[in-house]
Amino acid sequence: MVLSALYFIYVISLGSSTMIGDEVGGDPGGMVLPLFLAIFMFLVSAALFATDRKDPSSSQGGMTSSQKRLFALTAVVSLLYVVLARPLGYILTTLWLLYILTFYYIQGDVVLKDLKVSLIGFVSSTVVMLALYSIGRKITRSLLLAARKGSIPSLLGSPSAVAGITLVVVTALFVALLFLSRKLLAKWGKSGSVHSAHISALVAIATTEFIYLIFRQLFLVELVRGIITW
Amino acid sequence: MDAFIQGFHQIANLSTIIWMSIGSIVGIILGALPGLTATMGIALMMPIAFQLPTATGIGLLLAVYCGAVSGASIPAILIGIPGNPNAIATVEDGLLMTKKGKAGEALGGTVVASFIGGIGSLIVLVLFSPLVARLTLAFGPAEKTTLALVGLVIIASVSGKNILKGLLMGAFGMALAFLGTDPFSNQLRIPFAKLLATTPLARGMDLTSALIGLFGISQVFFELSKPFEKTAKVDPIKIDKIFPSMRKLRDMWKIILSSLGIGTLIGAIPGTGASIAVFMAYNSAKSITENSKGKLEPLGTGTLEGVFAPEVANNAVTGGALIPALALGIPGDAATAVLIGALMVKGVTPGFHLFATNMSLVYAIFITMLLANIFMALFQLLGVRLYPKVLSVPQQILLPLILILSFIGAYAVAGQATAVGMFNLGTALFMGLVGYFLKKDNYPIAPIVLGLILGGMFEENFRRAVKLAGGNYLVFFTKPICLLFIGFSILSIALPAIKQRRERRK
Repeated sequence: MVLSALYFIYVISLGSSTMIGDEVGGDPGGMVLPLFLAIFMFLVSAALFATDRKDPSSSQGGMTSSQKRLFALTAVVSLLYVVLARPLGYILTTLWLLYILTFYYIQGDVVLKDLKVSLIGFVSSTVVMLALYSIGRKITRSLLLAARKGSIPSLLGSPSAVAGITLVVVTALFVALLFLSRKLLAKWGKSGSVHSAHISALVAIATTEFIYLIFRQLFLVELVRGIITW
Repeated sequence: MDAFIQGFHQIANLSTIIWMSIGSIVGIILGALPGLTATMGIALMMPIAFQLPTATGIGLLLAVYCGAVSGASIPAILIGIPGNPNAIATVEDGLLMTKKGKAGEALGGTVVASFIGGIGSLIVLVLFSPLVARLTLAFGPAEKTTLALVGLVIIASVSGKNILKGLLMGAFGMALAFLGTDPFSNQLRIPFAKLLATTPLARGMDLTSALIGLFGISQVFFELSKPFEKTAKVDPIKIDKIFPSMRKLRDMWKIILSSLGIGTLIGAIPGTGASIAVFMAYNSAKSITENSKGKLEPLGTGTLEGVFAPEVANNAVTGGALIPALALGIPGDAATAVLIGALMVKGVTPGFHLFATNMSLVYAIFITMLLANIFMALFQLLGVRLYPKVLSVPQQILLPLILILSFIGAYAVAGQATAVGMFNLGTALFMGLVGYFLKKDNYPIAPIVLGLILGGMFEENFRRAVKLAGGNYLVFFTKPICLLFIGFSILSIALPAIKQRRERRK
C-alpha cells in the first residue's frame, strides 16, 4: 500500500506529456496509464490488507540462525560482487564469490573456526586461478599471433578454435591439478572443512575459467579486467 | 516455399546443431533437478541465445524448454519427486514401476511419450498459428489493447492461490515496463531523473536482467531460506528394456490421442500450463483404461499407461503454448513468456507482422522445435543410465553456480558495453531480491513478466486507440472484438474468484 501510494506521488510529480505533433488533441498523455495503475495497485493492496490472512503453515518454517547467516552472507557477497566487479575484474570477483559461497554452503554455517581453512583455500584458489588464467591467455595470444603471421592455418586463429584449444589445454591442466590436490589431501588427512575448501576451490576455478572461455573468447563479451590487466 | 528454404538455411549449420544439443542436455539436467524450472533454464540461457544468430538462439531456448519439460520425469520416476510441476502426475505410476524393477521401461516410455507429445503439438502449431495470426489482421490499436489486457488478466488470475496477488503483480510488472522514456514524447519517466538520466535505466528496465533476477537469483535466495535438500539417494537400478513394444503403443492409441489433444489445447490457453494438463490427461486415461475391457492395465498400479498419459500431455503443452505466443504475442505460460522476451530482445515482435514479414524465421522456429524434440529424445535415451547420477549433485554446489550464471548472464547481454553490463548486474540483483520477498509471501512471479512484456504494447496501443477516437475512452466498448476480449478478461477474473470464495467457505 505504501509503495503504491509512493508510486502515485511519483507519477503525479512526473507530470504528463502528449505525443509530438498532437496539436489537434486526443492523446490521453503519458500520465494516464501510470496514474490508473497507481490507483489500481493501491486499491488491490488495500483489499489484500483487509482480506489476506497469513497461512499458519507458512509461518512455521522460519529460518534457523545458521540459515539466516548463510542468507546474509549470500546477500552481502552478491552486493560486493556487483560493486567490486568493475574495479577488481571478472576473474577475481567471480572466483571469490563462488569459492566463499560454496565453502560456507557445504559447511552449512558461517562460523569463526572455519576461517583459517577457508582463508588458506581462498589464497590457494586465487593463486591457482591466476596461473591457469595466465597460461590460457598466453596460449590464446600465441595462437592469434601465429595465425596473423601465417605460421599456422588461419582457421586455428578463429575465436572458436582458439577458445577450443585453450579449453582443452586448461582442462588437461585442471585434471592434473585435481589428481595432485587429491594426493596432497590424502597425505594431510581430510577434515570436514579441508574437504569443503578443496571442493569449493575446484568448483570455483573450473567455473570461472569455463565461463571466461565461453563468454570472453567465444562470444567476445567484454568481461571487465579490473586489476588483472594481462 | 522460398521462405521455408530460407528458414531452413538459417538453422542448417553446425553451430545450431551444437548449441541445440547443449540446450537439450542442459534442459534435461535442469528439469531433472528438483526446484529448478524450465522457465529458470530459459532465463539463464537467454544471454547465450542473445550472442547467437536469432534462429540458432531461439533453437537453443526451445531445446532447453523441451528438455526441461521432459527431464522432470526422471526424478519423478526414480525417487518420486518431480523435477518440476510438469511431472507431478508421472510420480504415482512412475515410482511404482521403479519399485517393480521396470525403471528402464518407465524412463524409456517417458522419452517416447514426450517425443510423441512434442511432435504432435508441433503439427498443430504449424497448422494453426498462421491462421490465428491471420485473425489479428482485423485488429486495430483498440483490439490490440484489449488483447494485451486478456493476456495480463488471465495469467494474473490463474497463477497463485490469490487472484488479488496475481493482479497486483501484473500491475507491478506494467509499472516497471513504464520506466524509461515515454514512447510518444520521449519524456523521461524514471525516479530521481537528474541522477539516473545518464544511466541505462533511461532506456527502460532491461528485460533480460529483470527475468534473470526474477527467475534465477530469487530462486537461489528462496532455496537458501529452506534447509538444504539432502542429496537424493538413487538405489542402483537395473535398466534393461527401455522401449515400449509397438503392440503396447498400438493398444494405447486412445490414451496418446486424448493426452495429445488435452496438452495442446490446454497449452494454447494462456495462463493454464502443463500442471493442469497432466492431471486432465491422467484422468482421461483412467476412464479409457477402465473401459478397455482388460486390454490396458489400470492406472495407479505402476503401469506404462500411467506414465504415458501425463508425459504426452506435458510435452504437447510446449507446442500448444507457442500458438498464442507466436501468433498473438500472448504467452501460454511463464516459460513462453520468457521465450517471447528473448524474441523481443532480438528485435522480433511476435504476431501477424512476424508471419507477414519474416516467415522464414517462423519456419526456422518450427524446424528448431522439431529438432528440439528430436534432440530431447536422443539425449534422454543416450543418457538414460547417466541422468540418475545428476540427482546426486548437492544443492550446496548448484546454488552458487546458478547465482554466478545469473550474474554473468545479466552482464553478458550488454556485450562490449561494460558500463551497461555493470548496471544490469545491479538490476538483476535488485529484481532477484524483490522476487525472493514476493515468492516468500506467495506472490506469483509470472504476472510481473507478463506486465513487463505486454506493458509497452498495452500503452502504445491504448494511446493510439484513444487518440484515433479523438480522445474518447469509450472506444474500447464500441468494437465487437474489444467487447469479446473485455468479456473474456472479466470472466477470467470472476470465475477463479468465485471458485476461491467457494473453497474458502468450504
